[in-house]
Amino acid sequence: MTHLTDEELEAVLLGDAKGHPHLEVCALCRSRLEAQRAVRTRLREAFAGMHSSDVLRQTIRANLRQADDESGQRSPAPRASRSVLVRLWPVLAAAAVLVLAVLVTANLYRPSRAAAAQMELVTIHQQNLSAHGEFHAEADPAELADYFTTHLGFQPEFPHLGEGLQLRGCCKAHFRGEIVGSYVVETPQGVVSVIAVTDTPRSLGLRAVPREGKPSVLAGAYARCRLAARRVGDYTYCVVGETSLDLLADLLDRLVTPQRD
Amino acid sequence: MADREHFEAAALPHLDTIYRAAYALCGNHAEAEDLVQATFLRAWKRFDTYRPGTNCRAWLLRILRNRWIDVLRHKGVTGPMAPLPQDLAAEDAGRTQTSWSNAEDVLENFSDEQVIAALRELPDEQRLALFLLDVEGLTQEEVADVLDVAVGTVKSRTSRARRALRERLFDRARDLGWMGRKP
Repeated sequence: MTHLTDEELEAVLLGDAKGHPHLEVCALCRSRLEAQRAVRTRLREAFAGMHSSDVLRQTIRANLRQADDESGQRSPAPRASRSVLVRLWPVLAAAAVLVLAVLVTANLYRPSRAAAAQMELVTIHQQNLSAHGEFHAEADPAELADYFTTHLGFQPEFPHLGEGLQLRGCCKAHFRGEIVGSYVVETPQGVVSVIAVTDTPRSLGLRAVPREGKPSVLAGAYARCRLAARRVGDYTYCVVGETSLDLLADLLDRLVTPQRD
Repeated sequence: MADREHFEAAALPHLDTIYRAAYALCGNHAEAEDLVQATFLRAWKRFDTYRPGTNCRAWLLRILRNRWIDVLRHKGVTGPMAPLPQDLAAEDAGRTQTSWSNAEDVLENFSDEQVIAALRELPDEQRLALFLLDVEGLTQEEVADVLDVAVGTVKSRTSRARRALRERLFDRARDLGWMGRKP
């Protein structure tokens, strides 16, 4: 008996062929078909719950807007002759006022590059919460420091632990096209991520918030998350979480250099 | 501005598909998101080459695939265009006698992450072909268009990829003691 070829089986599987007379008499080919069907179904199920995040959508929109702006800056309009300019100056003046008004209005509402950065920081935090495959679970600061040294070539500052603060682990992340380090701290209000970047706090669009009797902190908010940051050495430490700003700021106050043996 | 709105209206509805495809290629969310962003930026810059009314999803997937090849080249990895290694093909051929009577039961025991991880072990072009056909429901002609290969190649590639994926999962099931060893 000649069995079905892969192509014939594929046609039946995808519904291109209603069936095949051979399948009625051959248990082996029926088994092959069912095996292929089972894998196809399971694979589809495996991806069924996977969707892109709103943060990614917003980041793409911000990127497109930025690219659009940059291409506009690179392509100046052709120069008009002087006589045409003289003739049309009232129209041009009115148009300029209108364009200025539109630009001012648009700038009030559109996310800037800084806002996109905050989105990226929140995305890193959300990925940390999902404990993905690249997450390195570890509670010992010395071990985490070793991980950072090995994988990222630097040792970050860790907070003084205790009073409900505990390290959970760390991982490499991508921020503004660069690989950066982040670690996760469990706090009484929930899990927060600490992300060390080389960008300045101001470039992240964070604003100084005074604190009574304590050093001020640079802060922001995106989605349900709050962000706080402080420059320590060559890095800006950004703390992100769905907690109070006070907790994030206190955590920044507790940053200390890891003690090594 | 109007062009960008037009682009967003045409392209962003396919974000989930592009994201899942990127994840199937990269295997982790961070890299997948970077790849998706790069894909949409490239697509936007080449939007003048897109013909309205044609298949925007397939157009984006082609750009995604090309960006992924760029990423691999940048990393110095030769993967996506490499033919199926002979040893893998031989290994595949030697496995066709396995009995699959309890295939569905065994597959149900695996988590989604384990299934996706096993998919990741397939060569890039097999993986993408199988993903596009079985998960995203593209036709064989559309998959051929995205991968820039003949339809016949897609037919043999997806059938072989499905068999290879099933074998990897079954090997794992044997290792975990869910089913007997092969004689």
